[in-house]
Formats: sequence, C-alpha cells, structure tokens
Amino acid sequence: MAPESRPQVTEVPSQKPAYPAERFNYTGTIENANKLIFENGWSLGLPVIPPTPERVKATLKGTGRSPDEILWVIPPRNGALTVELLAVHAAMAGCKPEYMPLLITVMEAFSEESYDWMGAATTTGSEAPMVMVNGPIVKELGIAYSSGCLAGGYHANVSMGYAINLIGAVVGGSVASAQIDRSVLGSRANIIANFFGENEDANPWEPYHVEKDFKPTENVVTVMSGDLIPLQELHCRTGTEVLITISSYLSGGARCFGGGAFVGPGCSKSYFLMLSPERAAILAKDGWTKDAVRKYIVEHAKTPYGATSPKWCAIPKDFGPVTPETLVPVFGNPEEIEIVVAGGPGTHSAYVRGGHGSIVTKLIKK
Amino acid sequence: MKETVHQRELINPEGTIVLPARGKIDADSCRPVALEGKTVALLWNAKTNGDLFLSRIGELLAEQVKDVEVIKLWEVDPATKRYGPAAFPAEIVNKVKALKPAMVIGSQGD
Repeated sequence: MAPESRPQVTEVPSQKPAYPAERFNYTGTIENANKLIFENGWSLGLPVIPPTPERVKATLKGTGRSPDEILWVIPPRNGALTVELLAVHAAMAGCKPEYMPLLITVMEAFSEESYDWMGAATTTGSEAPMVMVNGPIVKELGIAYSSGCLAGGYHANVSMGYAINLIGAVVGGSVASAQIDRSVLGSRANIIANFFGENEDANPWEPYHVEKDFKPTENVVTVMSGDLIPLQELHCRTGTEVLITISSYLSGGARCFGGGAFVGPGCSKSYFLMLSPERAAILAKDGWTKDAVRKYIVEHAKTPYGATSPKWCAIPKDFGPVTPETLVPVFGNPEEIEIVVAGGPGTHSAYVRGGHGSIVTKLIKK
Repeated sequence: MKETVHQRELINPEGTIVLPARGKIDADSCRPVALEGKTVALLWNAKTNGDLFLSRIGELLAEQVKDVEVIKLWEVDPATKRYGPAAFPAEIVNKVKALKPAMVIGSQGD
C-alpha cells in the first residue's frame, strides 16, 4: 500500500515572538524552584539560580547588544536564542554580567555552518564543546589558563562552561535523556564544557590567536567539538623524546590519512594538541617550532594498516602496496594538528580529537 | 530545616521555536498519495548499514507497489553519499531532481 498522508497546502502558522521571553509567577522554595526547572527540562541536573527578571536585567548590563536580537536559531529544536535568553542562561549558571560579550561571541562561533552544531549535538559520539580564549580578556575575567584550568574552582571557566551547555540543551533541544542527543555514552563536558584560556605567559611560541593573524592585544575565542583525551607522560628529557611519546599517543584511533573515506564534509580531521608549558619549553629549547612539531607528528604518528578500520583508512593511490604490517600515517597533512599551550607546572598534556565540524576562531567585540 | 518560601516572577528559559521560512508549499512538493508507477530515490548518508536499511525499504516497495522504480542514489552517483552542514549543495540537489523522483527517502544517523 502506498502512503496516504498528504500535508496540507498552507502557510507556516504565526509564532510567538522570540522577545520578550515568557514570564510566569512562582511561589515556593529555591529547592522547589530547581525541581520545577529540572522537571521542565530547563537544567541538566545541577542546581541553577532561578532566572528572575531582575537578575537577567543585571546580567544584560554586561552587553550593549539589544536584548531582542536573535543571535542564533539553535538546532535541532530551532529554538531562538535572543540576547535576553542568553542572559537568562548566563544568570542561571551564575555567570557575571561582564562575561556576556565573550558568551555572545562563543554562541556566534557555534552558529557558523562550518562548526556543524547539529551534527555535534546529536551524534552518537561523545564529543562536547571546547572553548579556548586568548588575549587580555583571559586575565580581565579571571579565566583559568594554568594549573587545573579544566578542573573546578574557577568561576569563569565553570559558569560559562555550564551556560553553554544549558543553552544547547534547553534552547537547542539536544538532550541525551530525551533521546535527541543520541550520544552512546555522552561526556561530563556535555554538562560543563571544556573552557580555558591559553597559557600565553608560558608559551614559548606565538599565542594561538596571533598564529591565526590576530593581534596579541585582541581578544579571541576558539571553539571546536571533540573528545578531550589525556596525554600522560613523565620521563621525557628532550624535545625528540616528547615528540616520540606524543606521536605514539596520536597513533591510536584505528584511522589513517586523516580519517580516510569516513571523513566526509561534516567530519573534522582536526587534533587540538594542548601542550603543558614544561613540554612546550623543552621543545622550544631544543629548537622545535610549531611547524616542525606538526611535520614530525605527521611523519611519525603511524599505525599498522591491519590495525586500522577499513572505513577510517583510505590509502591514496600513490602510496603503494600495503600489507597488514605496513605502517600508515595517521594524519594526512600538518594542517590537521593545532598546537596550543595550556595548564600549569608538570609534564602531562592533552589533546582534543575533533568530532563534527571545523575549528572556528572569532574576535570578541565588546 | 524549614526553607523560606519566595513569591517571584521567573523567566521561561526555553525560548520560542523559529520554523524555517518556507512560504507556501506548492502542490508538486506534497507527498504523493500513491507511488504506483512512480520513482522513489533512496539517499544514503554514508553511515554504516544505512545502505542495508534503505535497500530493504527498496525491496519492500518493489514487492508491494506496482510498477514503482526504486533508485539507489549512491549507486547512480557516489557523490550523493554525504552528511554534515554542507551535505546538499545545489549541485547535489539538482542531480537528484533531474531523476524526477516522486519521493526521496533518506537514512540519517548511524
């Protein structure tokens, strides 16, 4: 039998305006307000500060942008994120008013087509948003960039990391418990996003935003979607030893040549290498530039062809014959590796393996 | 411990839904009421097993709908095996439209 359904020929119905957001009266304790908020799907399980008009008005003082401006219609729900609604979520997460320009830029970066929010927010993978901040704003806002910058205890990092995911879930509708975010396991970074500053003070090379043609005095945000993976090592004493270890770590993942056939238009090839200051210092002292580090990794991060997934490894025709023992490169080219310096004293580093979309870097306008 | 009860105004943090502006849907864009003698295109997003799922739909259509023509787009043009934000540029859409399918069935997710 052929399907019988036929949508009506009609105009799209009129909708409620995006601004101002709906107000309602509530009587109860803070605990009960949080229960109501959670049960309506307006929080992620952590407590929030109930969003009163007074608190939201105070948060809006942090920006000169009009509260009725729609910053982004967030998929998959197609919820309209106005500046006012961003302030609502910032207030709920405990953000200070002065965080608003940065949060607005983060949302604008997420909204770029190349970021592929839709793919990242609904994938079966565990990827989560990562936000790195460069420029004087890092110290102005107290964004952690040194010891434990991805851990707790840093108000700016944690509250903004929380606000971002609240917005994605509540306005964008990508909620794992509602089976909209289809992540098999999810990630704690889907609650508090990985949010940190680059440790420019300890960076022996030029900061990331300067490498991307911004001025050192400009405030810049970089976002990507991926999985943060620790890169633990303790015993390297030379730059080459550091690179051997890093290349060994990056050889995993059963992929080669940047992901091969599996990597389509919506899939990232990027790896975001977050070197600890000590490891960056060893490399720089031994004369390694960022470009040389990238080149070394491309040449040395290899895996036996037999250990790769067929879908994640497309051997170029000019590579020559391969056997299961043939070592094949994990990366297709040096541009797939970004290098930043983050964290405090110690040897351990980390990397973010890109999921959907591309890395987006954007100037923060006050 | 007895908590304080507050009376307050709160703001709903959900926001409104903005539907894509599509304007009027013309009659040609409506789903057909019957598929007999028509063409159905199957669009695979390249994710594992999506082709098997679509192929089975194609088999069922062929069994149950008289004179239906089923086209597996990925076999006609591998360039249609795409996903992501730029999955369907005009070039790909036009290629599919040129086959004049009455319906396109896609497999999403993985």
